[in-house]
Amino acid sequence: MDRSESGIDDSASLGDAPKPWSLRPARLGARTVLLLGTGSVIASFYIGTGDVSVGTNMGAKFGYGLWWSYFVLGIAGWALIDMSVRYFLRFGKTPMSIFKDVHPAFTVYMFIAVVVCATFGSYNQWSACAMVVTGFFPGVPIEVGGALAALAGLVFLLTGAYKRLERVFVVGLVALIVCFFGSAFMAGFDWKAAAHGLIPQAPGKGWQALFSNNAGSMINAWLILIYPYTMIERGWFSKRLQGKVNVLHRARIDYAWGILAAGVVALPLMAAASAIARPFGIVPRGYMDLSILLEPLAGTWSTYLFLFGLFLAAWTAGVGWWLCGCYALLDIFNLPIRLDSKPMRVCLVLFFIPSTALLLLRVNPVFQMLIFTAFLTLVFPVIGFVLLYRISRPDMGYFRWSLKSPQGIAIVAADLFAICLSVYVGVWLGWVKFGQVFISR
Amino acid sequence: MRVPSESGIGAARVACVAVAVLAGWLGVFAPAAPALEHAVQVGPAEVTVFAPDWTWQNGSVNILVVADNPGPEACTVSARLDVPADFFAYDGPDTVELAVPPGDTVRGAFTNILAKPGVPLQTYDLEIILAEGGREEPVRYPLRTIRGVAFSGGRWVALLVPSGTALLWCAAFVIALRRFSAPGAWRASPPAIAEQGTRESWIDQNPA
Repeated sequence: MDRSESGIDDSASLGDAPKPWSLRPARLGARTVLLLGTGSVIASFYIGTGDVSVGTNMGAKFGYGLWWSYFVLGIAGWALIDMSVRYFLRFGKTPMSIFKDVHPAFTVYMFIAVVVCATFGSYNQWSACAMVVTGFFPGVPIEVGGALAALAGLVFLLTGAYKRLERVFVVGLVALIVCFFGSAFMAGFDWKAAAHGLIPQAPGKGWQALFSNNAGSMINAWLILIYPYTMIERGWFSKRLQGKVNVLHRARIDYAWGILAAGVVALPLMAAASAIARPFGIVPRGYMDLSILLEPLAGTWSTYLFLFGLFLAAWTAGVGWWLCGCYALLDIFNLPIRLDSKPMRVCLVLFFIPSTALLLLRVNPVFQMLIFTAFLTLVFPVIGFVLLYRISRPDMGYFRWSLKSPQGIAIVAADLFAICLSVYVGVWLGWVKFGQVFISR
Repeated sequence: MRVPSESGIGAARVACVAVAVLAGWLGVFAPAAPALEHAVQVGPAEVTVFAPDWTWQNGSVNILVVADNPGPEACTVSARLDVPADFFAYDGPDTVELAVPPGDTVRGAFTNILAKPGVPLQTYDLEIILAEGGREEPVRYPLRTIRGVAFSGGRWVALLVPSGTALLWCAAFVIALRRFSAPGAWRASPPAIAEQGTRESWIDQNPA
């Protein structure tokens, strides 16, 4: 998609404009609803080693007792993505424009956040990939295993078109869901306990720390802004208001699926950890250790499936971090948002270098991931406040906040819930609790 | 300008085929996860010990003991862990008692056996002594420490080194991207996106 010199005007005069949230979208066929495309790209961000580490820790400590947190946090994640999409449809502008419009200092903040989080995040994923490889071949250094996984991701992105990327991510997502569920079915599901886990509850001492980790993984810092980039790649934009309404409706299904997938994948992880680790008070600190514990209960295939699912989750998440980091940087520098462009390729190589070099640290990736998800909660509060400021302004036109219709009320409620939850998690659980972890050595 | 086509049902079919192919490959070629898996008959029970056969320095391992009693009478199997204390830290129970009803399987574990930091990288001999009714069966458990973290420092290493490295690397992105962008682009909001000439048909549909 090209940028246009003319502005987007979907409400030529306020007098003629439909009331906010009053239009119905065109009906989507069942086949369209089943198309998993960009939702799978979104799911890849959520389903990585963060999801696996948090899910297995939850299962080991509390069984299914924190499953509800995925869906509560998922509502917040959904609303935050929706805000960025509404802004894009209203103005035809990319997410980083939100920050540029407020003050250049926020652009600098976002630039640093994008580089640090994407480097740190992708490094974690390659480290987890390396642990899987090392699990089968201990003689392979973790640096080599991780670098090979990263190199595969780099080659995939350098040679790819966005259309192919979506297809690969759909395949990867379906495969990892099958793997994790297959592994967990062999270990045993407690469906009654799982259903009870959907009820918001405090399952035991120390649940807040894991809730905070999960929030860092689900709300996910600045990744909640990236959906519009995929819309640009797919040509999902219209100057007509009805077209915008149709796009928003379709997009909402997409990212709802992506976020829901994270909660769905968490279930077999909790089930497996609950069955094999919880009875002994084992808190998983190594993927290989967890997979070995699976074997006596569920058989060798369960171990294979778990490790393969873990590799897929980590690899697609690593690719996702790079992809979104590059999109955001292209946006900051007003460059075309295109996977097959030279600036994109340069950014990919620049991400590859430090995220593989960091493998030399050889930090346990489970431990590393828990630290990182807590770190992500620090990043969000600024983003949340800026988003809130922008999205609540009356110049959002048809997509503005309105209390005059049920849908409008629901949107305001969801937006405020998302921001409040994000700020609570980011400020209280992030800055305060996280700070205590480092101050009280 | 190309209109990207949707992925979905077709990709799901591909996914099923891919998973089936990979599963077949895995079944034929994949090696077993390197781990101790030692089964021994101890009285009426068959006892299997599961444990990883390698760990990192300052990493912990767990040993799982599974006792299966196919006989008509209950039995009690005890498992005693012998760990070289100079090289491993372990503050759990030395002995685990498994009371196994007839026809049942019971699991027990020795958890959080920590390879001390700074210990030589080599194979250490741990031992699990299984006993039932006065009979003992030792299970040798060789555990290899293969490497440790490059820097000590725990949480600080895990957080500050990666984020500090990435922070310094920001300069590389600035240098590279400024070559492609207009001066001051990072401060200026870009013009609006133009609508594509060809779009997916559902975008332009009107509700019935």
